[in-house]
Amino acid sequence: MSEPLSDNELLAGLAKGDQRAMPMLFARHRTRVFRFVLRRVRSEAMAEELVNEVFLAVWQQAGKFEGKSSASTWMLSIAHNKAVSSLRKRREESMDEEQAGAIPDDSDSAETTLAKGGKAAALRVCLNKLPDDQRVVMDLVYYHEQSVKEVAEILGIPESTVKTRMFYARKKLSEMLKLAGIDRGWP
Amino acid sequence: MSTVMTQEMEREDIEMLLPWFVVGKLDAADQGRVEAFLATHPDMRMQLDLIEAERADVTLNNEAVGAPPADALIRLMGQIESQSLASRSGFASVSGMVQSALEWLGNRSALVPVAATAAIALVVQAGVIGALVWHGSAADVRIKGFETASAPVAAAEQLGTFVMAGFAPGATAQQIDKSLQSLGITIADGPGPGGIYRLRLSQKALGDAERDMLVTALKSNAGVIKFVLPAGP
Repeated sequence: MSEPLSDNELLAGLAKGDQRAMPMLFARHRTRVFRFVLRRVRSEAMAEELVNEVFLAVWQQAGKFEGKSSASTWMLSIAHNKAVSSLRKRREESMDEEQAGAIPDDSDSAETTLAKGGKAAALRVCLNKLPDDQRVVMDLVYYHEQSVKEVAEILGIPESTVKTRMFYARKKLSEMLKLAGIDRGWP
Repeated sequence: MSTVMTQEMEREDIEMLLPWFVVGKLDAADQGRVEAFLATHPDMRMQLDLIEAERADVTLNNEAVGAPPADALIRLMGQIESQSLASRSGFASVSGMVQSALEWLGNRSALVPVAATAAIALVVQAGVIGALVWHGSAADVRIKGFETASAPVAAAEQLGTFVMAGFAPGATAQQIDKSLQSLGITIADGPGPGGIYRLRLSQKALGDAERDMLVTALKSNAGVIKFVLPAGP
């Protein structure tokens, strides 16, 4: 059986107008793109719409992909821009916060969660309560496995900012856990 | 600058790189710096355990939010197709494009444009497959030609294990029929936009191993099957 086509080969196919490359590319990346945008916009309906927009943009802009970054970094960069625009629009429209509640907000405090589910559960609650600009960096590094340079490209910020955001996110996490009665021994 | 300050700055600089050290995403120079620092400062190794725990929980948090619906691809391909038709060919619909292409072919016997040929092949193949299904190779499925894509499917027909698939442009109806029959697979719905079909692997809900085995067997018919994707229940 022949080797599956690489992401770059699939994007080259799309750039030439070959629609057949899309199902494979979509199958490979749809879940990660969906999770990335859903954790930004916190609305399942909006995330589904954004995933559609991201892949439509991939189809339209495949010819501009130069292969300087990986295909996943490029797609996450498109996804970030779409999510930011969508959040800005939602703020402008003063949408009721209740409509944006598809993701459970972990309304329990870390202390309550610690009592109910233990240390690991408390850590997950605290991770979800980090400021959005710090949490997104953690998602991109730990889940999407992006380098400093790639995170900088996706978010459109300097590499030094990426490193400090990650550092302060980790410190903030320790502080939140300490308030819940868990001392991580750092910082 | 004092030596103590320099050492503190170096320590903080290394601390900032540790998450990328753990996920293996540092360049060679930074990887070397972190390894050298850890070798002389073993107390910092405890941070690696903290980072591993953070990584595991971030992964769990991400995986907890699920995946987009199975029909998202159908919708996307429909939009891509309509954009392609509008912006590249200037045709308003698939049928319009095929009609124009057929008329064009009637006047020219050579130098057929690739896009028109592909579109005609796709639509003709869809029609043949529809007829093939209608005429009994998969008698349990009430599908007839192009009406199938939008026709309501009876509740009983929704039972079983399904995948979405596309057939190779050059595959004949006989090849497709033979390939599907040999595996006991039937066409449940289609064609959708982009020539995508919903195939029923079984009338039962199959386990992962059995489903994967059938999908692998299906994919091995490279001259017949172009791609296979997961579908909803």
